[in-house]
Amino acid sequence: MSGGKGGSQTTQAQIPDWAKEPTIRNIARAEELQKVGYMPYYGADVASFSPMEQMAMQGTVNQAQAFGLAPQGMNAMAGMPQPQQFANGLTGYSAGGLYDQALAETQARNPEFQKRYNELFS
Amino acid sequence: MAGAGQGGQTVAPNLNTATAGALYGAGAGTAQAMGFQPGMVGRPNAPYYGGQAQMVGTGGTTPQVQSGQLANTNLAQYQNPYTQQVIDTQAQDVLRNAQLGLNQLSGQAQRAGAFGGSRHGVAMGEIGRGVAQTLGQQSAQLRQAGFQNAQQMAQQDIASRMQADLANQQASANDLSRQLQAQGMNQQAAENQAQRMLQASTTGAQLGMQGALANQQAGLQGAQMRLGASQQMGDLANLGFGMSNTIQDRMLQQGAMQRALNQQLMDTAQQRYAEYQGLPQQTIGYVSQALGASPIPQSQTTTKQPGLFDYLTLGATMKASDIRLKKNITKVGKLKNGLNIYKWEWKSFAKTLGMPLKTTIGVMAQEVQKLKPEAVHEHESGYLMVDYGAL
Repeated sequence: MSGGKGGSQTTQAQIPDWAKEPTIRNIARAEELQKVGYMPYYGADVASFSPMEQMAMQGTVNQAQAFGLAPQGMNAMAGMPQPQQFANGLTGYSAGGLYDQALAETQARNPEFQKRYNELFS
Repeated sequence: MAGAGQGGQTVAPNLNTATAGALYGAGAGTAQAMGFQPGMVGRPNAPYYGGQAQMVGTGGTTPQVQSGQLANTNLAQYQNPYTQQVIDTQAQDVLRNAQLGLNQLSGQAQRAGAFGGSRHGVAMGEIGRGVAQTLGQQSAQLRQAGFQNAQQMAQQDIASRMQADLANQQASANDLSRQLQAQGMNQQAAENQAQRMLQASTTGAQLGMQGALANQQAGLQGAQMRLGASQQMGDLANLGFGMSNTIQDRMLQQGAMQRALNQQLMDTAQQRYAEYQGLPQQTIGYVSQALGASPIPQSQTTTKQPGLFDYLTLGATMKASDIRLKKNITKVGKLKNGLNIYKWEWKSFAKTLGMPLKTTIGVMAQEVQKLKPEAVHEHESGYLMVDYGAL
């Protein structure tokens, strides 16, 4: 309980001459990489319900219908987004479309902001 | 649910409907069975068959008999239709005889040479008058006889009709008498039948009461049987429903496992994409790592900003902190060890005690005494002081 809060510590490194050139190139490369900007992922993000899950859910709906708690002909997957077909028969959803939509919305609402943002990578 | 999929695909028939129907049926059956109320057995309908025993009025009438009258009788129907023919035949016979007489008279006159004389003429006239008289008399006699005969026949007919009418009247009277007797018998029979029906009705009511009681007993047994059947049906339906739920749960679990596998594949793909995306940064990091692995001379400078207790312990660490010396005390914080930090103003007499009163923020000696008594000291004036360095 002797010390108060606050205070700072500074460490100063001395780069040797032999490391200066690689460091400079590395920094230059990092600047080039920085210009690339964001590379969004458009692959599958979330797996869709499996057929067995859908059957189980439909069974629940059928039970509800049998007791008059759900409208006749109701599909358990009603209201769910249509899954995409990916490689190897995988079905699921990608958030890429939602990302594009959000980006376009930002562009529409505040184009100046997005312009300045993109300039950071040019 | 073959073929059912996400996004509005076809839905297979609902197999749970039968189970639900069974449950509903069981419920309805139970309700029906429970709704059976034995109650009082009402007296069955026992209609009173009242006999139609009433006198039937004599609706028959006896015909009136009237005597026939000859004056009102057409006698032509009783006349001999051959009367005129008989008269004509008889007239021909008279005329033929008269002709013979004339011929004989003419012969006698010729022989006497008096033919065509007056005597001859008178004689012929006399013959003619006799013939006419004979014809008239005979005709009148025959017609008189026919009229009398017709009158007699008509009178006989009238008498016969009179007798027949009288006989009919008597027969009608007899018939009416028989009808009255028959009606009396019918009335008696109706009364007898009403009496029998009343007895039968009473007996039927008693039998009906017995039957109703038997039906009530049978109804109770039937209700109990239906109740049992409903309960069994409900149990079966519940069993089926439970099995359905169990199967659905297992399908859901297995389906979730499959989906988890798919999600794992997707996560792996996403991770590899991130690795691909981060590879440039990673290669840049290689150089930094190489530089980091080499010994690089460094110099370190440490600066420190003094805190509250640095100020409190600055100079003399023993400070007056007795609550009896302070006023307008306000809590402003709390130390990690639980001691409260206050700010205050010194009372005027505190300055006369010769105690260090430089600070107006810190802890309260009485609280420190409970938590860390070794940090509290008593001033020669009797008031407490706190060694902040010991806190």
